[in-house]
Amino acid sequence: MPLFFLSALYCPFCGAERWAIVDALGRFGTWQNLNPSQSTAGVDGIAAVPTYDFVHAAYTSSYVAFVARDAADAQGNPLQPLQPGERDLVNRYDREGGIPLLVVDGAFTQVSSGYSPGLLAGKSFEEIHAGLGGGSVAAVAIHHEADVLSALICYADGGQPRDVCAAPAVRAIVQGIR
Amino acid sequence: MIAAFRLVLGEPQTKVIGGVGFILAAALFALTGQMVVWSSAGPSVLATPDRAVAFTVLAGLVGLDVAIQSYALRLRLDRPGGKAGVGALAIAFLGASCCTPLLWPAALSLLGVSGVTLLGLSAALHRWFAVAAGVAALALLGSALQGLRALSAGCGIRRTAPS
Repeated sequence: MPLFFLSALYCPFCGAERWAIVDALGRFGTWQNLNPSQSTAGVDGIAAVPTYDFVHAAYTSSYVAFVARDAADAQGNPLQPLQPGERDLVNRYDREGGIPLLVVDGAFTQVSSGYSPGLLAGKSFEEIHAGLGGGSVAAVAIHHEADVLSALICYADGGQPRDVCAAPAVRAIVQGIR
Repeated sequence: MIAAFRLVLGEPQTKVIGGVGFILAAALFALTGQMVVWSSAGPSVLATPDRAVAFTVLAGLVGLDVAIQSYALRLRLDRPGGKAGVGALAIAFLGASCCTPLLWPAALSLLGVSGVTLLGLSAALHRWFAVAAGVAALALLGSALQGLRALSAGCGIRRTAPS
């Protein structure tokens, strides 16, 4: 099941979405070389948002074929060129060129982050990471967005793996997809 | 020009039109500028001071411009043969308000520019937000001032020498 993510290193909304992607895809496979990064301070008037670096990360899964592209670096210079198939996805599903862009199985798309990066701005990577097990507003937002992504993957992939797709929060969202 | 400004804002109907324009523009800027992000978990607001000020100023200018241009349009239509030039007024207003840099991606997309091309433009607009907002403000201010100037001339308001 293909999942395409287009973002940029400077972009705070992309930084916020990466937390949810790491959470969601961690349920379907394994991350490697996943290191901290941050968005550029001041872009969109937002302080630096701690996030993950996808440029040097690798992801393996039996369920999800994940492709991430960072179109620009922290200064806004071109970074990872898009392949022809990826350009088609952008031209088809992201006609205004907004980022971040998520395309799940060519069936579901999302432009922008599923929650506000303002919830993460000004905090340290370690602070956010440590808080994921708690009930902070940021943790709830990240987990909820991860549940939404998981539900879309489960829906597209026929409910596999069952332990992930049978989770109450994920199952409730899947049932709401029409 | 000040007399024309008083004339425009002296009408309750024009004030309402300007107020509606302000509210609609503020809502549009908040959504397109991602100040309000709508997700399945509900709305979340990200109102940093500089963006809040920029959007409020821009929405205020849109409201002012709408009020002035609608007044000018009404005057024009009330005159015999006044339909001439109405299109030019409408185009001038649309050019100043609807196609501001903040909304370029949406407008260009409608014109057929590809998403990949606009991706680069979006990046530039985000990085140069202050410049883009400044250009939009100047365009709107220019349109409003031009409208006032046209009204001053059209209404025959002249500074008279003291007798």
